Amino acid sequence: MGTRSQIERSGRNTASLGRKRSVRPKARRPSETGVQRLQVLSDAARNLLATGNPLELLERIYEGLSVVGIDFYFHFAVESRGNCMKLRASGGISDDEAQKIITLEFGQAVCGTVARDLQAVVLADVQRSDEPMTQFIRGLGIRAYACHPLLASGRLFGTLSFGTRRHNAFSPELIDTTRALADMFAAAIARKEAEEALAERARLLDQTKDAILVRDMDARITFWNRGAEVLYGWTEKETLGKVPYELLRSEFPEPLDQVLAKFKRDNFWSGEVIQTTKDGRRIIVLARWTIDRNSQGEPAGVIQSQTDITERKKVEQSLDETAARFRLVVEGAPNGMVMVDRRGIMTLVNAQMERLFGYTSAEMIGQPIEMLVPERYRKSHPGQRQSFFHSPEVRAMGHGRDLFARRKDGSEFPVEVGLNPAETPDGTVVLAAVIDITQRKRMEAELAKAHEELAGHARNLEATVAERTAHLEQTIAELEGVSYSLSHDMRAPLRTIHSFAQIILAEAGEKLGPVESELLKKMISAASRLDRLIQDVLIYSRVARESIQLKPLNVEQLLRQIIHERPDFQPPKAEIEIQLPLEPVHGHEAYLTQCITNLLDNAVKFVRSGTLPRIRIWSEQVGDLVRLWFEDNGIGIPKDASERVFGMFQRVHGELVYPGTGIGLTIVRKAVERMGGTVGVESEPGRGSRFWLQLPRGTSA
Amino acid sequence: MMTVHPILHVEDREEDVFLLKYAFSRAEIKNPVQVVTDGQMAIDYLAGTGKFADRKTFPLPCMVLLDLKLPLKMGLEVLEWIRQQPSLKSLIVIVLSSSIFEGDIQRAYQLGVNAFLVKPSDANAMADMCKALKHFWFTYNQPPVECREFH
Repeated sequence: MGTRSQIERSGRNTASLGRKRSVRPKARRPSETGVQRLQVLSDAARNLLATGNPLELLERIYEGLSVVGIDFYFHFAVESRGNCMKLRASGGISDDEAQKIITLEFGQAVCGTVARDLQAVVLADVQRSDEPMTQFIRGLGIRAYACHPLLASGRLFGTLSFGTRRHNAFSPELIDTTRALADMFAAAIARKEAEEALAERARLLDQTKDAILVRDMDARITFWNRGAEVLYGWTEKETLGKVPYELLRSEFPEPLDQVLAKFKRDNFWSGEVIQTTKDGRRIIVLARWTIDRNSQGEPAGVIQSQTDITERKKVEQSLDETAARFRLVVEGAPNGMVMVDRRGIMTLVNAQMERLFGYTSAEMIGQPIEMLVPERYRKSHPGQRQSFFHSPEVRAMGHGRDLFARRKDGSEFPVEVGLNPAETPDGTVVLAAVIDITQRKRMEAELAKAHEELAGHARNLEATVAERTAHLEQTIAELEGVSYSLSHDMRAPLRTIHSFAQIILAEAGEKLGPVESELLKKMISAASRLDRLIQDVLIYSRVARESIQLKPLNVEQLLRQIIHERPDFQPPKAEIEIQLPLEPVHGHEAYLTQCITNLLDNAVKFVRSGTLPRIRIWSEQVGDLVRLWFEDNGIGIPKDASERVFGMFQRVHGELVYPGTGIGLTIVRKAVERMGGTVGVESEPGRGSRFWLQLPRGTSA
Repeated sequence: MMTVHPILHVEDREEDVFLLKYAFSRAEIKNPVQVVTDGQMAIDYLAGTGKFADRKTFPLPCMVLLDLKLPLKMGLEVLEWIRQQPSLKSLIVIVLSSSIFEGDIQRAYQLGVNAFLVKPSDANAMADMCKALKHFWFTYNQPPVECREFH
């Protein structure tokens, strides 16, 4: 609508101006004044060209032209759809009339014809013309008419025409002037349109997030968009005239002169550049340089577009690092590592895989994993693989079955395979660790063999032990047989001798002489001594052989019982003093009874004739042990005999004076040893003996 | 006339048979003594088989004095057999052994012996033992029903 109001206003002004000017007195000398006025006009026009609105310019021109007899002007502009023009400005006609020519087809009327033919039309004596194209201007009373095409940069922008009612023809100077005005006007329109297009482009550039700048051939910034302000922090004002790569302290991927040389060669350059913003931040941008050419096609500058890729680079870098680390881990793994996708295709293998299977990684990647599976398992493997992908979990492959893998040369080896599912952008994959367990299997086999051998040895050993035990048991059985015979068969005849001698003595005593009676008595005594000997040997063999259970014993109680049962241990035959308290011991009741009895037997036996046996008993604690002392007032034992007295059948004193079997102390020593103790004696001849038994201390009696 | 039950003496050694008889006379034990000299004879006697079929000549004893070391069947086998016979379960059986052999003692009691005596080598001691035997078994002890006829 702006265009229309412009038209209206122009029309009014033109009408009024036309009337005033028509009465001016100096109208008669148009030539000289006209040239002067034209000079002024062209100066004004030149000034206006720099900044002004072409339509405004046109009105000024028309105003100036009225003095030289111009009553009308029309400006048509080519419509964007082409082949058609619209009236954009006019002077000297009413609105109603203007409405009639608001649109002109190419070839219609004078202006349409000019537009179609791109050639100016200058008409004289219009009122006498009968051409159809002049119908409209004839109706306006126009007598002379000049219409020029508006051509600039090889383009048709429209037409500009002038008319007069006052003359039948334009002077050649005026025709030249109108042509010059039309050319000037065309240039102004072209310029304005270019500016508008440029402004539109700049607006678009400002809308992009990319930082866009233009530098001229001297590398000075001539344009700096909004994106550049946002990215770098400098406003356009601050940057115009500066050299961009100095301002931004650009670090190029290669030396600047090489970058510039490449750009000169290709008219294009692109690369990642590190730059520094106004606040000192270092950013990475993807820069694209393209050549900017002027209308003549000559290089006019460089359009630089920069996209900030700092964040992307960081992400890429961390992704790269992660990937690199992953690869490093996979590559450095001591096991074969293979990544398999959902289809069972190997997508990654490490060097260990190459070593294990004899394939190169290129031979494996892209191939189904089944190529590494022995033929006999190949059919079932894809199904198992798919069921794993169905419910992926970190686990060992094979569920405990023995697994085998197949090398390139067809040989097989035992493996252990760990499966690790992983989610990737390309879907679930499985990273499998393959361990060659040939060595382990061999060691297991060797170990099993060693175990078997060991078990064999153990069995042999057991057999040997069993054999020897059987042997020993046989020996013991034989010994027991001997003992049994000793006790049974040897004692039986002895009993006969003993008893029959007694019966003879009892029944026929008076028939015998004193010598015979004495012999019978000696016979009886010898038999009984032999019987005691046999009994002692049996006791000894029993003590040495029997298995016994040890328990805490109350020594005092035991001692009192022994004394109570044996009159010869009691006054008047003997005096036994017990020094309390007696420590409890750990032992076997029957064995300890045997020991104490034997010691007391000796103590009361080995005294000088006529001496009352006096015995003192006490206990002494020696660490965890208890030592029981038996001190007597007997005849004592020679020092060199103190060990010998414990030997079997060892006798220190004559049989006649001190009868005995010579086994008593041997039994004591064996019994004490069986109870985990020791026995000893301290003695001097004539000063009595101190026998001791040492046994583990009883925890409670 | 009341039946006098004999004492069955199972003993292969003639001397020991004599010593027991001597000791019995010293102890004034008046029961007749039937002597068998091996284990099988003892079983035959008690079972009333073979030459012991006549119970008038060989009446059931009221007590068995059993030596352990015997020909054919050992004393403990005889004891075992006795305890397996329902009619002989309560028969008084006393082992009269030559030796104290722990294993024999345990086994004899397990098989149901009534007493385990060791033959003294002294004739006087033997007489003393028989007196004790008489006092205990014939005077103080209350014997099973069929063994009442002691005097």
